[in-house]
Amino acid sequence: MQPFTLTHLHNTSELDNTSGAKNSRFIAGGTNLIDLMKLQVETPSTLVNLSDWQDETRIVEDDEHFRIGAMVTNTQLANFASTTPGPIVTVASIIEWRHRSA
Amino acid sequence: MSIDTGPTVKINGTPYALPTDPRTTLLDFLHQNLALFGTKKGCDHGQCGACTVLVDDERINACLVFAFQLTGKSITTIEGIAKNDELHPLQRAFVKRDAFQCGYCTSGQICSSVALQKELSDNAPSAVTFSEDYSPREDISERMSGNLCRCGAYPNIVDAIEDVIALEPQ
Repeated sequence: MQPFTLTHLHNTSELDNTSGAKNSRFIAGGTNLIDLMKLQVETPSTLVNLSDWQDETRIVEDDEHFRIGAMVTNTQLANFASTTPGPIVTVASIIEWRHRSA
Repeated sequence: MSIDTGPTVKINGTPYALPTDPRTTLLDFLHQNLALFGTKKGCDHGQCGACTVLVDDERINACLVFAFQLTGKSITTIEGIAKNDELHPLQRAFVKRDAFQCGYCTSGQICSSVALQKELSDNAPSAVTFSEDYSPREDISERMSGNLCRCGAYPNIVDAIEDVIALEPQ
C-alpha cells in the first residue's frame, strides 16, 4: 500500500479546513476504499478520517422526514427502520449492504 | 505493552498504543504488533470472514479497517471470547457439533456467531426477517453468510448455533 498523510475530521465546522489536496479521500467505514488501496487501484496522498465525526452519527426525525446522518451505518439504519417507519427501508438497506459487500 | 498516554485501542480488555504506520489494518496490528494469531487472514479483502472480530460487540472484518479508525474502541478477538478457562457456550457447541474440519475459518465463525446471538436478542433484522417463508434456521444461515467455510461444515455450524440459541431464554 502506498503511504499517505492522515488527517481527522471531528465535527462539521472543521469541514472548511479539510484538506482539498489533489487525490485526497475521505475514509468512513473503509470497506471499499481499503480494499482498493491494497490493490493500488486507489492511491490517495491524503486520507481524511471520519471515524470521529460525531455530528453525523444520528437519525433525526421531524414531522415529515427523517434526516439520516452521513455516518449512520446501514446496520444502524436497518435497525432503526425495523422499529420505526416500517420494514421497507430495512429490507432496502440490508439489500444495499449485501450488494456492496458482495 | 499497555500504556498511559496517546491514542489507544482496547483489545480483550487491555489498552494498547495504536501503530505508528497508519496503513496498518486491525488484522495486521493483531498479528504483527500483538502476536494475537487466533484471528485468521484468509482473503485479506473482506470476502471470507476469517478475520471477523467484535468491535463494541458488533462484528467487523479486521482486514478492512485501519487500526487508527478504532481509537477508543473495545475489540474482542477469539482469544477474548472464553472467560478464564471456561469456554464460551458457542465454543463448546462447535466442538460438540463438530462444526469445523480444518478449523481455519472457525475463529471468525465463532466471533460472528457471538455477535449473531446479540443481534437476535436485540431483535436486529436480517435480510430474511421479513421474508414470507421465514425460518429461524434460514435466518442463522443468512446471518452467517459472511463467513465462508471451504470444508463445508455449514450444516454443523448452524446446528451448533441453534443449540446455543435454544438454551437461551427467549
